[in-house]
Amino acid sequence: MAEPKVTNALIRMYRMGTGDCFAIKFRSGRKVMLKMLIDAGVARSGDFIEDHIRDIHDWFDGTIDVFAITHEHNDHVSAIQKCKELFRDDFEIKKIWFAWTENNDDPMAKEWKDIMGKKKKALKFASDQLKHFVEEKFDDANANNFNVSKLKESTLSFSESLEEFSQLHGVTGTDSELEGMKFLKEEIADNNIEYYEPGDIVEIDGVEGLRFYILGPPRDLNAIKKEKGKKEDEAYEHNKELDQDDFLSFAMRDDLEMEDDDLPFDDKFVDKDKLQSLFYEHDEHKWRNIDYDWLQSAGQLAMRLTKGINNLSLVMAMEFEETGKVMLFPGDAEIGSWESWHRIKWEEKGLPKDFTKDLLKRTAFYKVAHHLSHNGTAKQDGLELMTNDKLVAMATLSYQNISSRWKGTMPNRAILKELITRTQGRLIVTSMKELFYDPEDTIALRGKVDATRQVFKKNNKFFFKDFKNIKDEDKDPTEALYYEFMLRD
Amino acid sequence: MDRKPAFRKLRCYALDPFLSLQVDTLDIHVIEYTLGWEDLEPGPVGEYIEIIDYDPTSGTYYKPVNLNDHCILVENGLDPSESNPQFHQQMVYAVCMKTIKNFERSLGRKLLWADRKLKNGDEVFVQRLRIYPHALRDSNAYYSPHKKSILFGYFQATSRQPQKLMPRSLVFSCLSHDIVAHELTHAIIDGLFKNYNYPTNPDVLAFHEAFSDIVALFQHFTFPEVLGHQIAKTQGKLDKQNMLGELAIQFGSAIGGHGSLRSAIGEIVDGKWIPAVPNALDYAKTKEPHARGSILVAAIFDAFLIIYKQRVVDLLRLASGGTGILPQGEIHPDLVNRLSKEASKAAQHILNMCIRALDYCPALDITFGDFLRAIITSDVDLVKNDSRDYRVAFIEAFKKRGIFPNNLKTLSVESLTWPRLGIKCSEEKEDCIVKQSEAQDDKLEMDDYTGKVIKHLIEFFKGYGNTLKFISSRNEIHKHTKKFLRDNAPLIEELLIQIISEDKDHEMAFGFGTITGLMFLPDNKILKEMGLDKTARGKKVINLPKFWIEDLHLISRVGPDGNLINHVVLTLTQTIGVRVIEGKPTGSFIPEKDEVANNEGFEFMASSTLIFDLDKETLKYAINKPLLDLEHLKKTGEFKKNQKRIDQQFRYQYAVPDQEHNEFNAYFGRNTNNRFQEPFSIIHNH
Repeated sequence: MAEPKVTNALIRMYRMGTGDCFAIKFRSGRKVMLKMLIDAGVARSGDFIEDHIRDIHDWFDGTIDVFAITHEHNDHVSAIQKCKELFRDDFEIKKIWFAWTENNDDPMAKEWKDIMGKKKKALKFASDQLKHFVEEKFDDANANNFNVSKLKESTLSFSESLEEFSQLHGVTGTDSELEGMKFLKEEIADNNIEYYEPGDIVEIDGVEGLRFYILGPPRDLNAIKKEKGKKEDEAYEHNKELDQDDFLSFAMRDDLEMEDDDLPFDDKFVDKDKLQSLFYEHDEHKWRNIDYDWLQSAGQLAMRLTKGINNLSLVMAMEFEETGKVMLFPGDAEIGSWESWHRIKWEEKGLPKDFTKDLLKRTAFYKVAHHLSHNGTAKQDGLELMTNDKLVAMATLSYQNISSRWKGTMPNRAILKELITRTQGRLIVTSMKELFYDPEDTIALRGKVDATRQVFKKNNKFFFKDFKNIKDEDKDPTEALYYEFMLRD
Repeated sequence: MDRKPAFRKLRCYALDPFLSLQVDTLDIHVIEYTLGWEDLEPGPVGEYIEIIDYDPTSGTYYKPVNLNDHCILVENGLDPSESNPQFHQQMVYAVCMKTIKNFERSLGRKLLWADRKLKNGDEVFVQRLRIYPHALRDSNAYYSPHKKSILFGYFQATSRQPQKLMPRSLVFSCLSHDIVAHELTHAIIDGLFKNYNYPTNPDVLAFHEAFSDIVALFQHFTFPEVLGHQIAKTQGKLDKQNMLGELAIQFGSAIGGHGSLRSAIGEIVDGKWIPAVPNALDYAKTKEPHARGSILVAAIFDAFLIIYKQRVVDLLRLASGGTGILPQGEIHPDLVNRLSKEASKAAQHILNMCIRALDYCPALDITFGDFLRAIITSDVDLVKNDSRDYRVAFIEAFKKRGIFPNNLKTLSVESLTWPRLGIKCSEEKEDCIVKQSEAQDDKLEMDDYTGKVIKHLIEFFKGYGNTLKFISSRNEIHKHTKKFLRDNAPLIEELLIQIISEDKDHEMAFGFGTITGLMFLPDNKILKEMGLDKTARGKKVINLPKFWIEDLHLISRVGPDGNLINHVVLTLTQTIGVRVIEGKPTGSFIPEKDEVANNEGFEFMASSTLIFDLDKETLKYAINKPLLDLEHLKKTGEFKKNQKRIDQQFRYQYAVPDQEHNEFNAYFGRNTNNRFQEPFSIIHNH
């Protein structure tokens, strides 16, 4: 006898801070058909993470049918590192899903990994060097400058930003893979990893009525590199692409001697005696030294690297056959990825050409990409196509646990506004504390969301019922480990 | 040898080597810069700049060029070459000196770099700007106000047209005339106005960027050789001035991020220049510094086109037998020659006007409207008869983009000129005779005390002017100015204190306050009412918000009709701390004394730039960014803080950063009211 079809889902957003961890039970009526975990991480690891993971364990009875990791950023995988034994020993993980970019047998993925690895190392090197400079050399070089402390503070702040970016990607020793990721692949996985690419349609044995459409990451390198939709009228593409950094990365490495090829000029122009160094390094002139300034170029490198990896996110649209409803989990995909979804050749699989649009149109649950940042959600190719009048959105953002420098871009007010309008207030955020709705920081997000929910009270009836933790909103995460929403049939 | 040569000639790329590959069939590849002679050390290290070719990315020193080497001298410099770092040093030197001289000629005085401020607060002379031609592996280049240095980057580029450029070939920003001139202009402006890298409104940084770009662009246009080729190419369609816009954008395209300032001029579609249509809302709508700066660049470029058109209309008639319509086909080379000379001359005039205007700009918090007023005023001052309607061209171009100065009822040359004070002291009497300028409606009543202050100030500065007239060494100018201030500032302060204490009815506080917009009323009660009690500080008996002499310099220049200008410019600055309480800028604190976090308060500065005419012994202009609410003061006689300016600064510095555009700043910069990051690095990182 065929199994009953999946009709509804319980979605739990675990509230560890700014970082993703979603546990989902796909059900047929009340019968659980599939238990899925998507990502497990937070930007700044707090110690209480273990409580969350234990709670998942209890809820899932120790079994994860599918564990999907969207991309290799600490705010999506750090919990694995933090709770290694728990994941390895106490869970039974049946399948692990990655994007094609994690597949070492894929030559394109391997090339990417190499490039990314180099850049991660370069970033780490720059971050370490700058830190070293600020800590060890700054005072000496600037001994006689006015207001050294503030100058130092400013340089320090830059170096800290860099360090945070570097930590997001994580490089330890010579390894350029995040520890949690490595642990998952080497210690937990047991020949049960599956890699997916855009256009794949996944059905799971024994689970009827549920289909996964893989939308990203794109196979097209240019899409991954694309940061934002911007008109280019410059004659060349200067340094906006990831591989442009190689030249910079080459210089930022401590493991290799500089080779002649890396120098911009012929050896004969090099002053081997360094005669000018007497002048340059003279105590009187030290305040003008620039030995570390060039490392600040790593700021751009860090941002491009981050965007590049965000665009490598595994993007899944989950379709309920019975109801036609769709849940969208885009990881941290940015604009380049969003655009590429519409170029997937669905017609080759016997589906309509603009099937992506159709999926977006039917989206009833949206996991907001990249913690509400401006480049996380495409407007024209994304949000504007989500026209379902019962759309519910969940976003992982909490000012209680976030890198301070992310606050500048998260949340983006325009996206916030659009989301609240589209969902009629059915936006759930990890924590709305300290968040504001308007650019002037006068309207608290909490109040705005509540008011909007009330305005559309009638249409929101289902939401008040199906959002289980509506009364717990903004409680301390230790009191409410998760928010649960039920997507009904 | 007794006599030093008058000139040094150096060969340089006419266009960036990168660009010359893009502009088809360009026959002008190399042009010769003619520079004033100076003795140079290897580097080159001269009077104004020292080039040190140290590349920190590889820890390498490249051999410094010795431009005094005989072999190099006879050939007018090294052969232009991308692969020879010594040529890079030569080119940077040539462009820098050309730019410096352009400034000095227009300003009528020697340029000084911004002082270096030491730990103990002393401000010391910086003889040379340090230049590092190969300092970054990045498409960036920036001026560092902290190090008084310019750092140029180099990087690998891929061309959109691979047939024109070897993939992964290196591009050097120091080989671009426009980038070098742009960065150097940042350094020069910093030397003139150190508060211009402290953004207090959306225009300040945009102005820094735009002005630097204007200098780069128009200086490039002063080379007739560069223009000739394009003019010849346009054949019969000269009236559209396509080639000038095309060139401006092409120059810009080669300089990457810096080039975005040219975007408002227009764009090139299928090889043709389509000018951007100016919109009266441009200025109001655009906030991001580059985009905002590009509006100013476009406005000035527009003025340039109007002026060029007027200059060549007769030539075109002559060449076309009176019809103004040239026949199809090649243009006569003589005409090409004449036209490019006219364009180059117009560019030089624009450049002069813009640079001269700096002397009439406020010392801080500049807006584009202020700049327009400065252009008009400086031109009215120097050129009596505007026979070619240059001023109208400027006004027209600004108006089209919605750039209007504040508080003006009409837009005309008369209303835009800063109000002429014309305060003159008579010889016989102690007090002043006040002469009103024709343009000013409200009568300025001068009390005896204010008269005394101004009279004494004029006397002080006459002495200063007379000493400085005969000094030409930059070091000496700096030394004398500092000495003069050291000797006289206490005297001036004492004089002020004395007058203030005699002035029981606060006449001077009112009179001098009305002129300068600054607060000179040491009345605790009133200060408290103004919310300034906490900012009160000062030596001896007077309790006033801290004020000091920010800048002092002498200007002497000659106009086209031979009229001479002899001015002393004095800038007084006054500062208060504004504390942010419950999201409103209402409280106060003492700057540099109270510890206030960046998000809890900011320093609010006011300034008055007083321009004295030494020949006529008058106080000619006061260009103010007032601390006081002047309208209220004039109307009621009551002293009030200028809340409008405070709110404006607050709104700007505390607004949520433009998330779309300044992501880099969001991650790596800090609040806008932070003076300690590299402002020009961040702004170019975009």
